[in-house]
Amino acid sequence: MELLKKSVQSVLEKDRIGSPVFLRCVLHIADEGENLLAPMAEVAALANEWIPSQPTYVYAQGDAEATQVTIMVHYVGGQMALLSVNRVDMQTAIDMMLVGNKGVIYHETPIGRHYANAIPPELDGSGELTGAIVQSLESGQPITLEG
Amino acid sequence: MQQNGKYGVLLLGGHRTHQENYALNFAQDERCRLVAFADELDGPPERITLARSLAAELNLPFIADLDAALAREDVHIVSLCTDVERRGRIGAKCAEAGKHVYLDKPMALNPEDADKIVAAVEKNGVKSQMFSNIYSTWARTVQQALTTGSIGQLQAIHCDVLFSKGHPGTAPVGEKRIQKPTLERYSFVEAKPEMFDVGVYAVSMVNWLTQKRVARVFGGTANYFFQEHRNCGLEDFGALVLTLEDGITATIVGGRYGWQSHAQGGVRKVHLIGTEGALTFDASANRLEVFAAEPGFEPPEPHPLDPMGMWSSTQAGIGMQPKQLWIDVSSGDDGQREFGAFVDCIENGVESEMNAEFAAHSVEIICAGYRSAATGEVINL
Repeated sequence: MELLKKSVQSVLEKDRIGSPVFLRCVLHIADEGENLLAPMAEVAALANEWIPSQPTYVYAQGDAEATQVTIMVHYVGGQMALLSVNRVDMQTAIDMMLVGNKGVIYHETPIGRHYANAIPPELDGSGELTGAIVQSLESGQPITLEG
Repeated sequence: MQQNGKYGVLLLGGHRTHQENYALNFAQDERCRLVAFADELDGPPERITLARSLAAELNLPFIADLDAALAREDVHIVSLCTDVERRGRIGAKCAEAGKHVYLDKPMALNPEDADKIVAAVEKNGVKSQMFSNIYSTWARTVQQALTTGSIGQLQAIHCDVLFSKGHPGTAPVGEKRIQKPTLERYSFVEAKPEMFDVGVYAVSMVNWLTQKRVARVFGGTANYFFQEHRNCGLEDFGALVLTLEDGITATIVGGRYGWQSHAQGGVRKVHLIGTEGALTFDASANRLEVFAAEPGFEPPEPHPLDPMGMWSSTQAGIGMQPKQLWIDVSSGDDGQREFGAFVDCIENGVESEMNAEFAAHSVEIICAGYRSAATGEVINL
């Protein structure tokens, strides 16, 4: 988390997003039989570091020995954090959104885990330049288009 | 029931409501014909004025007496975009008149009002649907992934829907919001209760994807960004932790967080956590990213009648320039699918996936969220 913390801190120090008011963080932990409490606590520490207030109460759901734990943290100054740690069969990854009163920091890693979000393009035969492409493929030469 | 092969649509609401968009969506469906605008005889004068002006713009008549409009045999569908405070009463009246009811979101101010609509719809055998995101391309993609079972048994679902509109940074920092347990007024020129108004997308999405009832609600509301909301006593942001009936955890975030907070219209994201895997779905993921030697996005000057950028007409009036950094690849006709789906339900005699009964649960959940935010307690439904 150190590199992430350092980067976020550099943005906060320049007051680019104003005062942090809300952290949403979803952390996927590669399954090595680990209890989820330790990583959950680490994410909570992240929230506490960035949000300029003291936590006032915590609400938790899930099972640290099972698949996921989710907590909501409320802070004295009205700020909140919604944090989730999940046991997964893939690499460790984080998706976070740190909302300030004048801007937002988004970070997710790796982008590649969005693969299932893809919608393949549907071909409908309405392409253009087909002839020129074929011609160029056959000739191995650039094809000058008219107009 | 149709006349000339088309469903007649009566439009309630006017300028500075979503009727600006819904009327056009119904008009684009070749099975529908816009009939007229109408309102209650004793409706708020400013609302009637706005309905008359949109009617004039669309070259449609305005019927001053809603009862007379509902008595017309050439009206089959009512598109209901009145102020939220009147939706329960008027929605029930439309259903009692035997009209199919298309409901703006949220469908009602509180569960009691929602129940009035549900009861009238059921009693009269008409079709109903509340506007939501469930017919969008990305929502269908999430549903498809969930249906395949590739993540095993669902353990948790997290859904964020935020609107990147409004000029933030005017609310006091570090001031804890005092939430009232019930919402007495929804509609203001300059603000809406955003956990309700935007959060209803996330809550209804969770309900629809899981097809589970919510058993417990825990949440918080805040005034993070806008003095306008604070002055009206409304939140600009809210978050809920929900426990579904079989123990599944769900969380939602809903709010409005400022024009420059997102490259498009705001975050729309779903995380699915299962026993066998996890998936993330971002409505903006299928995009072009365009960087060019052109001026960047500049937030518009606040319109005095719409400082939060809620309505198409006011934003057009101030020459609002669209954000152009991210360009959607896939979801251009989501609106048409939403309205087409409702007409499909009427034609085929089937229930909408977001009918009044289903949508009423969203109202129940969000109102429980307000009670939780007011008391700091978990609310059992």
